[in-house]
Amino acid sequence: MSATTDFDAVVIGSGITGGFAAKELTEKGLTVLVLERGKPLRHRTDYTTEHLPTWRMPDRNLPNRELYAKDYYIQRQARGFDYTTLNFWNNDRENPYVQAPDQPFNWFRGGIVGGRSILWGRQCYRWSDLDFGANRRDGHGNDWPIRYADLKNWYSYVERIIGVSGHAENLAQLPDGEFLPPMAFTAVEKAFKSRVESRFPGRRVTIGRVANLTVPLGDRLACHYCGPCQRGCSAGAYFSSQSCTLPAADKTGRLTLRPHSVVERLEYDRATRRIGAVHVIDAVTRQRLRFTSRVVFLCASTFASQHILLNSTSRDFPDGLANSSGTLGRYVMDHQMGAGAIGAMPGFEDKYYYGNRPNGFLVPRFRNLDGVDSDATFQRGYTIQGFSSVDSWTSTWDKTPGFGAEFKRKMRHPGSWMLGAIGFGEVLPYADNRVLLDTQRDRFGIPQLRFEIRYRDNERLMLADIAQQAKALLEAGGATSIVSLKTSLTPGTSIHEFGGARMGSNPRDSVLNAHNQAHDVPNLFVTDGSCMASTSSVNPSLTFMALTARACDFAVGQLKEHRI
Amino acid sequence: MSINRRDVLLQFALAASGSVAARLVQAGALDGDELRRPVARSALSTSQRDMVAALADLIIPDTDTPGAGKAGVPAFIDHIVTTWYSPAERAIFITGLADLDADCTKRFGRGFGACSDAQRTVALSASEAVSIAFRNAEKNPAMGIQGEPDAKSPFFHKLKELTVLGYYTSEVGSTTELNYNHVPGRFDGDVDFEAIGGRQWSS
Repeated sequence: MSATTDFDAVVIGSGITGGFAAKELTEKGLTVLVLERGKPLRHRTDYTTEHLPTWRMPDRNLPNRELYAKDYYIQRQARGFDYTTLNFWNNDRENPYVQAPDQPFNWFRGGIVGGRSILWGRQCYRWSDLDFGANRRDGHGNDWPIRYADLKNWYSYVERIIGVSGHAENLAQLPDGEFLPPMAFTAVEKAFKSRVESRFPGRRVTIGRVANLTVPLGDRLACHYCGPCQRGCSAGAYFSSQSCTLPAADKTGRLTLRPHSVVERLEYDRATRRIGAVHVIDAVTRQRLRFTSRVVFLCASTFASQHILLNSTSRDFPDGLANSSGTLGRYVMDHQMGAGAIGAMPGFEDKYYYGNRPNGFLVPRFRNLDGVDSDATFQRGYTIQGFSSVDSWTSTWDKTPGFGAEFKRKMRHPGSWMLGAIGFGEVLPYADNRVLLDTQRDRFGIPQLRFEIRYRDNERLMLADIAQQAKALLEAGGATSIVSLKTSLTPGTSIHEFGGARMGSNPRDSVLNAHNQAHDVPNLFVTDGSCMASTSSVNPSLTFMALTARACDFAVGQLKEHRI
Repeated sequence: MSINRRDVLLQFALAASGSVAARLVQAGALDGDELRRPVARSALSTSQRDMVAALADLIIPDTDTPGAGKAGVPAFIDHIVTTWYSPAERAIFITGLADLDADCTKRFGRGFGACSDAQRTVALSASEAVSIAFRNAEKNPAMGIQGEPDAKSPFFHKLKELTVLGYYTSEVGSTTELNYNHVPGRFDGDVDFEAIGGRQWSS
């Protein structure tokens, strides 16, 4: 498309959104350079712990205390972190960040090509107008510049590419998608669903909508139900950049993927009012590189993208690139998930399961659907995600006294069926929940990112409601010995990151327009979680991908019309 | 081998008591896993190792399937106590072996090694009672088994935990005593326990 730049487009990041941008832009004819901070991770070849039995793992997968304490003191708390995924996560010692006093934040990051698309929970839900209209309705944050109608076809487009299994429910608050056949419920979940839905007519229990294939799609195979997806899947049965978008981009012959590429800053050219170049430090050789392109897609992940923008200062943008509004780094959010309930499900002692379903069930939002419920003390809502499982030898051994042949015989049998329900709650956008540059620098000389994020009254009140309602659901579902959970989890723990470069119609109070294009810099698009103006209560990745595909389509149109 | 991997391995090697491992790493002769510590000298004496082997089989004996001994559990316990346990945990374990031996002498006039299985069972049951009382008195004790174990728990708890972990994660325990299928190929959440063989899944 252009002879004067190194590439038509530079995409920063190779995770869920970067991989998708690479696919879309290359398939539309652009030459694309993908810059990935982490190390290479080849599909199949580098999934070295896939299907690895525990007897082949060092110390039978007991935590490596010294190594985890020294190098993974944050990441070790992430879901799925252990020996089998160790090499996929960022090394905390090498990649430090600053947490404000009394405001701890868990920043869980992938350190590989594919980013967290290898490690994600794969739950895929469409947002509704309840979500896109939330800021306008209650006045928190700015109004979203788009509504469900703007994204509906893009959701379909993405779902057909990534493959989402699920069950249509015809609910206004949780629009249906293009679903592959749903995964099955357990016997316990079937009973739970029927009891809950008859006790609470407005509530629904549905199988999780998950980016695992239940039937083959293209050259990707259906799920074989081995269980631990996060080790990587040679069958390509779950969506990741490796299984889907990067191979598609590669097939065009227009993709260049460069791992170990730490983006230091974006260079602003005041003459053209465009990004002139992307400055990179090679993480291995420490060589400094500079790449030019007609357009830049910033998809480094919510906080990493803000980090790059904040560090891209110039005479025109002394407080960070595209920050004329002063909102860059502000209104950052996540999902709070500290509350729920767990209980035993009696009556299923003869029942068991075959295969490891990488999915649970979902109770779509049922609170504050039309404003604020009369008995609610909080705004917005939450979604309940749950699971049923059978206690295994890993926990029953400690509840089974004795030893010898009788102990061994008892241990052959599994324990009780358990039912758990955890809330994913909206967190409101607050101007002073923010990230900014610290005075401390990292190994590349880049100022570290500083987190100042805490939950407020609305989050605390919602958390109490989640605990209460989760208990009520379990009671209605027939569970016994119910334990209500209400803990103040460290923000960031849900790994659902939002905001900081939010979309909006008004350049004075937002960073990006309705097409994820920076108001201030027309050839800059930011399509990861940092673009979000609110959180909804459902998992965000599907929406990130739909926004990315939509923004790519818009950007290529603009390029063709020579507007950027 | 990446630079990072080499560094990590080197640090572990240098931290080990002997420098042989470090030299091997520098020479590129060791292609072991970065998470596996270099083999160290056992923290247990020969008689303590014999005692551990007898205790592991007392907890999970041979039945219609092989027991702990045939599953390699004694070597696993030796490895964990020697290389993975903290000094405090190791001290609890080793003191516990000595206390059990002394208790046998007190009760039966002979050490653990000379006791019958019935006598050993009596002494080990007494040790279990102490352990259960301790655990019941704890608030929010650590759950262990591939998470952080309860570092303060008494000897019996540690012994049983390591035996159980070592056995049910072994190839023998996983595949003969329990049900092992790493590629099920389908999911069915509503099957009869007896229909899949009447043994729980190992993982």
